[in-house]
Amino acid sequence: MTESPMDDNAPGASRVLACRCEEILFEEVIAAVVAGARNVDDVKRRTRAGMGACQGIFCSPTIAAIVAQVTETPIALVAPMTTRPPTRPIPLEALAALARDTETNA
Amino acid sequence: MSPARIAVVGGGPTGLSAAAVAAGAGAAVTLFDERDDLGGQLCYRAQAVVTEAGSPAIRPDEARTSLIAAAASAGAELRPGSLVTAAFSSRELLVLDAERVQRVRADAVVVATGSTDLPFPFAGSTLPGVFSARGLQILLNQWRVRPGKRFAIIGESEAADELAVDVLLAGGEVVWSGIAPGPFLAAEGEGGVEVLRVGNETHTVDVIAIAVGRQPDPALATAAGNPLAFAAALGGLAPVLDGRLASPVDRFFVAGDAAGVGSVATAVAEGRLAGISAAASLELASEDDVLQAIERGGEELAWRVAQREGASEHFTPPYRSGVSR
Repeated sequence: MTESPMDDNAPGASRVLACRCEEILFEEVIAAVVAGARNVDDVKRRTRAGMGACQGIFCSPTIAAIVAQVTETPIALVAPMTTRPPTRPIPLEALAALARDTETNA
Repeated sequence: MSPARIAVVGGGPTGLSAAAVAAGAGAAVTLFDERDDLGGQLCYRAQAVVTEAGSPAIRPDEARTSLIAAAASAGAELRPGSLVTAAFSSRELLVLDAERVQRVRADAVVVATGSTDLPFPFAGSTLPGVFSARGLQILLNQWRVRPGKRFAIIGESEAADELAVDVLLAGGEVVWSGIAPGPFLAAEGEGGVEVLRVGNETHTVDVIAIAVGRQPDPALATAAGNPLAFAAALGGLAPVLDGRLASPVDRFFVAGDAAGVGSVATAVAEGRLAGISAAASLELASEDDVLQAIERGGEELAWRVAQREGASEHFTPPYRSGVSR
């Protein structure tokens, strides 16, 4: 991951997915950083990387590594993706049931 | 007056140990796990594990059975099949099970949600037949399915070695294992993996496992406001905690792999410490009890504390671009 497929001459460089849930390519993440993204949230907002089913569990380290490499920042200084509930996708029906129960109990 | 309530999220070795200790101290403990089977990693590891430093290795299913029994006999309520999807700093949990979504209030929360596999993207790494290490391990050991015959394992670690043995025990063949930079790897095939190219070499394989390491998954604590810090030796971003595993978020505790990737023995030791720390925060245990648990955890626990504290930067939400401290 440190010598990433960001080298244009590397085999398969343009075909590698950084975020597989939303199918975001490495080159899209790199473009976001070149355009000003400085942490994982910035990349997420520009590309949708991290907004899919896994909510960034799988792709966050990759995105952070790309930000670190392109901006020449140690990875320990790249701010992580903001985590908010729910931690897994849940059915809207579940939230609706919660609202109904709250109303009933009120 | 009803006893103080402690919620333990995660039913692996860490959570089960925390629940047993907290219940033993007199708290009303409920343990939640999203899976239908309790035991976490002990449900799908095939080779012997050490549950306490200095003790002989035992079979994972034996470790699992005894940890579950200890938690149950101490009086903890065990709720498998229950996903905790949110844990607010008010110590209210949102729990989803097959029948309903529920708000559960607790006086203290122990987050023992474990770790996830690290990614390692390369050309073709999303082809059918490419698995994360843990995914493959669950398939082989818990579901007894061998998804192919010829395996390549990417990664050089104890976990990669363990997976290689799991493959052999399942009747598979490890055709290639090792590590190479992403640009040197490519998986190719029509509809699924057929070959793995490593530099100039071509290996005929039907399964590729990515076993480059794991990272902590303390999402519930992070969402409640726990700061994170990058510690490479713990697998990456780990929650900032004090020496007794207390979070800066009031009456939250994080332990085990969720606090930094480690061994089963570490998970059990930190589970016990978090359990007694949570109990002590509710005045059900003494300072001496906590200090004993810290000492019992030994150098490993102290080393982990140092890893978290030694990180150059603490990230506290809301995160800002660039250096925030």
